[in-house]
Order: sequence, then structure tokens, then C-alpha cells
Amino acid sequence: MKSPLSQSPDRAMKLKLTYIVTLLLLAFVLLIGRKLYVTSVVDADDFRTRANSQQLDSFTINANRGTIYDRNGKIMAQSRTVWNVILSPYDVKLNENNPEEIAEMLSEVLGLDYDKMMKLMNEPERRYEVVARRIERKEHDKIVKWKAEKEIALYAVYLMEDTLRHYPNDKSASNVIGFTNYENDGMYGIESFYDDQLQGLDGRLVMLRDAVGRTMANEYENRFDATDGNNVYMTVDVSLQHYLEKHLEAAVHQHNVANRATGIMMNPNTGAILAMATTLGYNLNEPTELTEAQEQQLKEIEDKLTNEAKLQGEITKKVKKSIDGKVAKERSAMWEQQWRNKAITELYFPGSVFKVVTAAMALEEKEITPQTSYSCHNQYVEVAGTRIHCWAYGRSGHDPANLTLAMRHSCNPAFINIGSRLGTQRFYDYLDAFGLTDKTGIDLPAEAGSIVANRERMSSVDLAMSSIGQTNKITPLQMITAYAACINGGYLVQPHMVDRITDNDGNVIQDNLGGVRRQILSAETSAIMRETLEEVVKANGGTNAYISGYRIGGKSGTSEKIDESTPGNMRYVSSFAAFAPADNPQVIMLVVVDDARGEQYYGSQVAAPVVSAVFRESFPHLEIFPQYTAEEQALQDTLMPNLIGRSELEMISDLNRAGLLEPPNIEGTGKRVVHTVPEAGAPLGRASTVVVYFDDDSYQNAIDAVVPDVHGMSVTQANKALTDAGLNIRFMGGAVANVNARAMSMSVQPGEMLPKGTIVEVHFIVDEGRGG
Amino acid sequence: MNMPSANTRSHRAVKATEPKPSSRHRRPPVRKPSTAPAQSGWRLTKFDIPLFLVTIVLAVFGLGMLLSASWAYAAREHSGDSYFYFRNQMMFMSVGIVVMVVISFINYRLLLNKWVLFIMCGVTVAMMLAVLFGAGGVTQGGAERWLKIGPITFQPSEILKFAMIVVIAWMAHRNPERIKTTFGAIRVAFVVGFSCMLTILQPHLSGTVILFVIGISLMSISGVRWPYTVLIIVGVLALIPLIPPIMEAAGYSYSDARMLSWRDPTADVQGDTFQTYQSLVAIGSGGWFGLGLGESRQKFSYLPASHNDFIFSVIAEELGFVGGMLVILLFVVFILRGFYIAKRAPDRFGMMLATGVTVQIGIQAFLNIAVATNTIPNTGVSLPFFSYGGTALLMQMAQIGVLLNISRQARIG
Repeated sequence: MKSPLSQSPDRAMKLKLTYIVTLLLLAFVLLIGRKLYVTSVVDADDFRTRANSQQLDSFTINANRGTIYDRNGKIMAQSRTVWNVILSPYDVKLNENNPEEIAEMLSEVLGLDYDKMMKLMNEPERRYEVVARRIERKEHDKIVKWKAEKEIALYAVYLMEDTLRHYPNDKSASNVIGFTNYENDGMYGIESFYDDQLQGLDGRLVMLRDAVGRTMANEYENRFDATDGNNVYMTVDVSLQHYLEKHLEAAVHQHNVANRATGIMMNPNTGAILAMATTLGYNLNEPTELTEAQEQQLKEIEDKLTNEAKLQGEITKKVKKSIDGKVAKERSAMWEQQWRNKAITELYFPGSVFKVVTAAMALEEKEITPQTSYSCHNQYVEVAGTRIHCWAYGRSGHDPANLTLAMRHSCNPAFINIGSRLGTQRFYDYLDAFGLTDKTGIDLPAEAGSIVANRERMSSVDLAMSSIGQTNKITPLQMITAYAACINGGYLVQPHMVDRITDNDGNVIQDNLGGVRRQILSAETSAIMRETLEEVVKANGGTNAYISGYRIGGKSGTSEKIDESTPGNMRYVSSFAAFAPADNPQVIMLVVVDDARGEQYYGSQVAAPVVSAVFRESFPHLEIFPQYTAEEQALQDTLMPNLIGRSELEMISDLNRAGLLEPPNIEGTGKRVVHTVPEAGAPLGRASTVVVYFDDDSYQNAIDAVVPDVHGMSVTQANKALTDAGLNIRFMGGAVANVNARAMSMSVQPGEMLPKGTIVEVHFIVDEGRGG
Repeated sequence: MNMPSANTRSHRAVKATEPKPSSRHRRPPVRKPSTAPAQSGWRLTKFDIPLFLVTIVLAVFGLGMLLSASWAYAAREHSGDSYFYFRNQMMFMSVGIVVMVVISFINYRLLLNKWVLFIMCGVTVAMMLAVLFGAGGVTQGGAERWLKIGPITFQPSEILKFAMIVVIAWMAHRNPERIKTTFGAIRVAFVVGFSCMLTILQPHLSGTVILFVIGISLMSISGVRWPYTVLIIVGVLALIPLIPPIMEAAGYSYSDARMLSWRDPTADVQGDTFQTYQSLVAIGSGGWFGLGLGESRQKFSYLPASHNDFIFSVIAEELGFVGGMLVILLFVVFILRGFYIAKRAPDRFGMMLATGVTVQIGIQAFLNIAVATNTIPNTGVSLPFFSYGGTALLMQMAQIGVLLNISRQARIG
């Protein structure tokens, strides 16, 4: 019945097939299935990341950075597209392009070294060699055309877009605008503060690359377009900025200023900054460029270090490296300094300018009236056993019989008295109210916070010194903002640099960035302050900040750098803050000169003339027009009319019309005027005596006048000296009408020979010490 | 072995389909198996639709995936001809399907013919030796595995697998009693051992493993007593630690790297573990449903042999876990159908043959997937129906043809 020889498979075989072979195979399937699940589902994220990191390759499409304009739409900073040239010897080889041809083209169009290019070509594993940076459209177009003609692969010579930031005004407002680095990120200033707005959103070209670096296929290309940055309109007026920079720079040179100068011009009613400058600035297009003097200084440091090291022994590589490191550190310190905006990042003692704030506080609290009188008989005041001198200590006495006089003389005892009437707590409340304990919040980076005496531990000496601006260290911007509140009707405004931000279609994204933060003082207090400060500038017929025809209010300050210098070698910060028109302020300005080391260092001598000069140039631009008294009118300059070809009678009538009433010196015998001194168009005083030539011979043979030295002379003396020499004087400076004014500088050197009738500009200043 | 009562059902089945007396009468006394088809099972019209269908599905699916996996590589290697591999494979597949159908009409018992058997074995061994002694002329990856005859290049080990299956099946069929003896076991073990030896000397480790698995599978159902089978398995497993030194002595030193990339595929992604790592990155990129058909990124030169040994990784990358499982399940269906046919084969030879062919294709598929998923250390196995390789495909189709013929004669339906 059983057949061992049966051809049919027996049951045992079948069972074994089912239970051994099949089950073992299925077990193996489970093992594989589990591993597949773990890899493709559980660990998928990890592997996908790994996949992306090797497969994805992306290029940035740079967004165009927004433009920065001044308040009138003048371009301050603009980006344009440039290209970086990337050579890939790998792709050259891969696509069988002719390396010699490419090297030749690159050297021809871009002036690159042919041999160097060929050397690169011989290293086919290289794929990303930046051979030229920031080439212009002209070169770019040439290369593109050439590539198309010669059928050069896209990535063999790749032109990658980049943007270049250009600043058309080079140096203008450099410390405010800031610059961008190689990554097109804003550094410093507006460029940094508004980086998010300006930057836009970079686009990206993502593509898949195979293991040897070629793109896989077009359909994988994923393009995310760039969104261009927004445009920023500054409140700054580039013309005003120019005037401010010009005169600040002149003052820095004239007074041998050790630690730079800064100036701020602001609309006192809105807080819009019209100009803000720090000397000497830098070229925004070359931010790492230093002045020749600085380069020289670095060279000297290096030489000095090298010589020192030589004495120690041989100059090893290590020593050289350490010297280089030190020099590099110096250099970056210099960069850092030239890039810094002194108006907001550096603290100073405001000195007497702060007395404006002290007075306003006391007036508001009704602790004083404009008529309150103070005593300064001893020219010092004792506070808690400490004797604080008046600036005029040891000089002829002054009598602070009312607020105007106290302010004009900048009497320390008077303001210490005013401060003590307020008491520490109220004084401190006002510091808070004026925003002096806090940053102003201006839209610029790196604003410094003030260092203010501790409220709880403020002693009476602290209070006394605070009243005259010698305890609390604040920024120039805080000072001008507090000052503005004293004269604008009592409002603390928000200082700001940017008026509005627009997108590329001109839609306004953001505006009204400034405005009033709060009212601190009553309108009455503010009105008293305006009158008082106008009187200070008008004193004695005009101080250095006075400009005839204009109503200007102001206060000077000369603070001691008590924390940075010693009594025997005291250093000073000279400042002046003024506003105009005094009855309805439209502009307020503060000039701070840090450590003038010339003969003069009082704010009224060093800073006030800058304010005056800038105001004089700015007023027409700001549409602030003069209103002269008859007396002032007579002193105003006029322009030399064109008299060439006129007869004698016609000439006299032309001169009269120009306001030149002095009879001219007539030389020669011709019928018509052939030459005049000064020439047509020159500005000159109405009292000038012009010289008119009626024939060439007399002009050729005229004897030149010798310029006398008028330095230190009074207005009358200088006028006489120059007139006697046959020259004309043009009076410069606000204090011309002041009896104490003295000639400080001349437009030509004494002893020089000039044709008779030539205008010599003489700048007068009044030396009234710190008091205005 | 006793099989009495348990066998009733199959006997009854035989009774039902076979005219019993004549069959008994015709059985030769020398126990020589008949080469004639079993009368009732042999029907020309009978055709195993499930097996045929799953084969065709695998073939078409495989061809599609080969196109996807190979076009990037083909474009690069054959100057822009993205369809190079696809075209070749399709040609072989068309021929293969025809061959499969034709063979399904040829009685598998023809293989029991002494001459057929001898010639097949002789030619196979000769080819293996030819390859071994470097007459093949084609070297790939440091090993001599290929033989080139005329325009056709193929691995003789593919033929060796089939030859070994036939020989063991023949032994089990020829004398079911003797195979139960120690001598019988030794004979089977010798056939397996000899085949493995010829292969490992190439050296062709994966081929050897496949031969061994087929051999053991057949041995375990052939009637060889289980202690012998277990003894051989244990013995071979004990020999495994000796493989690396032997390989090294033969001048091949890549086994360490294989073990390394198995344990930590991220250890040296630029060097030794590159293949395994890239395979896992591809599979891992796929997630549940994959990146989409044709969307593989790893096939762009990251994955070596993306159209060959690592085609499964491309499938998993493009079709995800679901696609990968589908492939595995198709092979499971194929195997179950193959075993179903084996169990209903009219004779032991048919059963052994069907089992061997099924195990061969199945184990090759699973080993390939196991390598791609890093379940086992890297060894070069191709994925049947999917990997590029014309002659291998042709061989597989031909063997499925044999399977189809067994099915015609089986007691199915």
C-alpha cells in the first residue's frame, strides 16, 4: 500500500515545503519589509535631509536694495546690478569647451592674466573660481554675446548677479547713511537701521545637481523671484548737510580740534533731522579709506614697534605677526571712529547750554520769574561745603539782576540757585520728562544712553553741578531735543532721520515717523525762554551767532571734561545751540566741538561762528527771510554791478541802484568803463569805495595796495586800516555791531599785494567768555 | 518514512484523474521514471493564468522601472540615448515571453533524459571552469563571472543554478529510497558543494549563497534525512568566519568594507560605505508614497548601478514604501504560486524542479532587496525582472516556462 518508489511527491515533502521553506522565506520577507519601513518611513526625514544636502544646489538672486533719498528726492545711496565672473574648469572640460579660447576672452574683456587662467583650466576638479568681481553691464554684455557665439556652456563661465551700492555724494552725511558690506548687509546708519526695509527679499534659484555636479533637468529648477527693497526718504536736506559739514570741518581745522566735532540741525516742531554731521566723515564709496595723516600715523606705529622689537632681538615671523596684529587693531579702531556718529553715540557734559533746561524747569514750576534776581558778588557759591566758582571768577564782576542777564553772563551761582529751588526730586522728574534719562529712540543704530546721577543718592552738590550741566552726560541729540522742547511751545518731539518709506511703485509703506511725544512745558514758559535766548544772542548789538535781519535765539556752553582731564590740563567741549526765527522757531541747531586745542575754546568763540555761518547759508534754503531795520539794511552787503562799457553817468546810477553810495575812484580818461575792482558780481559792503578804470593803460599801471594786518583790531580800526590802504573791507560774523568784536581772521594774508579797491573779508568775533 | 493514511487524499486525487491500471502496468520494474507525460494532467489548453499574470506584471513593472532608473545613466554613457538599456531589455523580454510560452509546451520530463542531463551538466561545468581559468574575457568588479560567446555575454552561474536544481531533482525522483541513506545525502551534498565551490572560486559570493540556499531548500524536501541537512547548515555557518581570510588569500580584500557599511552605512560615505549609504538615502527620500514615477534624484550618478543591483532603491525613492512593498508582495505571490504548483506537481521531479526554480527567483529577489535596504551586507545580486541584464532575464523566463509546463501537468483546478 505504501509505495516508496512512488513518483508523486509525498505528504512529508509537501509539509516541509509549506512549513519550512515557505515560512523561512516569509520570515525573511518580514525582515526586509521591516527594514524598508524603518528606512523609508521612520527615518525618512533624516535621509531626505541627507538627500537634499547632496542633491540641491542653489543660487541667490539678489534683491535690488532700496534707494535712499534726501528730503527733496536727491539720491543719497543707490544700488546697481553688477556681475561676478565665475569660472568652472570642471564644466569647461565636461562640455568640451576650448580652454584657450575662454582664457583669451577673459584676458581680453576683463584684463585678466591669460597664464593664470590657463593654470586654473588645468585643474578640472575646480568648479567655482571667482575670477572677477563686480563687472559692469558693458563687460557683462560682451561676455554674454561671446558665450552665445562660441557656444560656451552656462556654467563654464558663469555670470552671477550681484549688486553694488553707490553713494553719489561720496562723503556727504556719511555718518548718518552708513554703508553696506560685501554681503549687501547694511552697516552703520540708515543702511543698518532700515536694513530690513532696504534689503528686500532675496530670491533663490534651486536646482538639482547630480553626483558630478551637473544640473539634472530643467523641470527641477525652482525659481523664487526676488522682491526688491523699499526706498527710504530721509528728513535730511543734502544742501543743509553740505553747509553744516563745510563749516564744521573749517572749525575743526581752525581750532585744532582733538576729538572731532558734531552738529545737528533739526526742525524743533517735528523732530525731523535736517542735517547731522560728524567731522571728518569718510567716503561712503570707500569706507575703509583713512586720511593720509592716519595712514602716516599707522606707519609710525609700525616703525616704532619694529624698532622696539629689533632691540629685543631678531624679527621672527612670530614677532612680525604680532606687530601686524597690533597695527591692524589700530587701523580698525580708526575705522570704527570714522564710522561712528558722534551726535548720538558719544556722551558729553552739555555745560552751560543745559542752563536753558534748568531755567525752563524753574519757570514752569514758578520758582522763578524772568525778573528774579540772583547774587554773584563773591563769584562763587558754596554748596554743602563745596565751593563752586562762576566762570568769571577772578575777572570783572557781572550782575545777574534778572534771568536774561544771568543767561547772558551764563552765571553759575545764579543757575545753581535756580537748581536748588527745584530740589533733587523735581529736578530729576524733569530730567525724565525731558527724555534725558532715556534714549531718544531716533531711527539710527547704536544710540548711546545717558549717564545720569542716581535719583536716590543725588546730593546737593550733584544737583548744583547738574544745574550747570556738569554732572549728567548725555548725547548731543538728547541735548538738542530737550532744548527744542524749551522753545517750541513746550513739546518733547521725536527726533527722526526718515520721513517716509515707499515701495517700488511709489506706495507709501510708512510715514509720519516723528511727531510730538509729550508736552513738558507750558506755552508761556516756552515763550519766555525764546525771548530770553534771543536777548542773549542780540546782546551788545550782536554776538557771534547774530545775523542781522534775522531773529535768532541761542546759548553757548563750554564744559570741562572733568572725567577725562586733570585740573592743570583741563580739556573743554565747546558748544552752541541756537534756533530761528526766535518768535516762531523753524530750525534749531547744535554744534559740539570736542576738545579744541587752539587759542580759543569757549563755545561762543568756537561753536557759535559755525552756527552763524551755517544759518546764514541755510536760511534762504529754509525760506526764512530777513527783515532788516534801516540801520541793518545799510550794513548789508550788495553785489558789484557790471559797469563795463558804461559811461560815467550811467556808472554812477548803476552804483546807486546797487546801494553803493560812496563815490568811486575813477582812473583813466576814456569814455567807457573798461575795468572795475572788484569785478562784477562780487559781494561787497555798501560803504565800499570801488575803483573804476576808463582805459587799459591806467589799469595796467595801477599801483597795488599792501594788505595791512588787522588781526585783533576792532571793527572801526580794521575798517580804517584797510580803507587807508586803498582796500575795501567786508565784515563777517554776527558780532560786527558789537563794540567788543575783534578781527579774528582775514581772507587774504597781511603783506600781500592786491589791486586797489579789492574786497578783504574780515571775520569778527566777540570774546565774551562762556556767556554767549 | 511512513506515509500511509496521510497520503490517502493525494492517492484519491490520482485515482480520480489517472486510469490506475494502465499506469501501474506501464511502470517499469527498474523504477526508471517515465519520460512520458502523465496522461490526464497533460493538456495543451491548460495554462497557469495566475503565474503567467504575476510574471507579466513583474516583467512590465520591471521594464517600466528600468526605463526610469536607467535613462539618466544611459543618456550619459550612450551619448544621449536615454532608451539604450530600456530598448535592449525590452527586446530580451519580448524574446523571453515567447521563449517562456514555447517552453511551457515542452514536457519538463525531457530533462530526465540521460543525454540531455549529461550534456547540460557537462557544458555547465565546462563553462564554469572556462570562466574560472580566465577564458571568459570579461572581468567585472575584480571577479571573473562572465562568459562571452559571440555577441552574447552571460554568467554561467545562472545556468549552473538551473543545472544543480535539475540534478538534485533527478536524484530525488530517480531513487526516493536511496536519498534517505547516508550515501544519498552525501551525493546531494556533493552536488551542492561542488556547485558552490565552482562559484566561490570566481569568486562570486552572492551566487554561492543563492546556490546554497536553493540546495538546502531542495535538500530539506527531497527526502534527505533532516539531521544531515541541519549538519550541513551548521557546518557551513561555522565556515563563514573563514570566508574573509580565504577571499583575502585569493587577493580580494573588499569584504571588510562590506561588513563596515552594513553596520554603519554613514561611516565613510565618500568611500567604502558609498553604495549602501546612497541606497538608503534613496529609499529614505521616498517616504510613504515616494517622489513620483520618474522623479528619482539619486539615479543621477549618486546611486551606483541604479539600473542594476540598486534598482529597488530607485523604486522605493520614486514610489515610496508602498511601491517597495508592492514589489515584495508581487514576489511573495509569485513564490506562493510557484510552491502551489510544486505541491501539485505530478511527480517528485516536477515538485523539486518547481520548488528550485521558485526558490531561485524568490531568494534572488529578497537578497537583492535585503542588500538595498541594508538588511544584510552588500553583495552583488540583481533583482529578477527589474535589473538590467538580458541573458539573466531570458534564463528566468525560460525557467518560468518550465514552471508553467509543470503546472499544465499538475493536479490543479
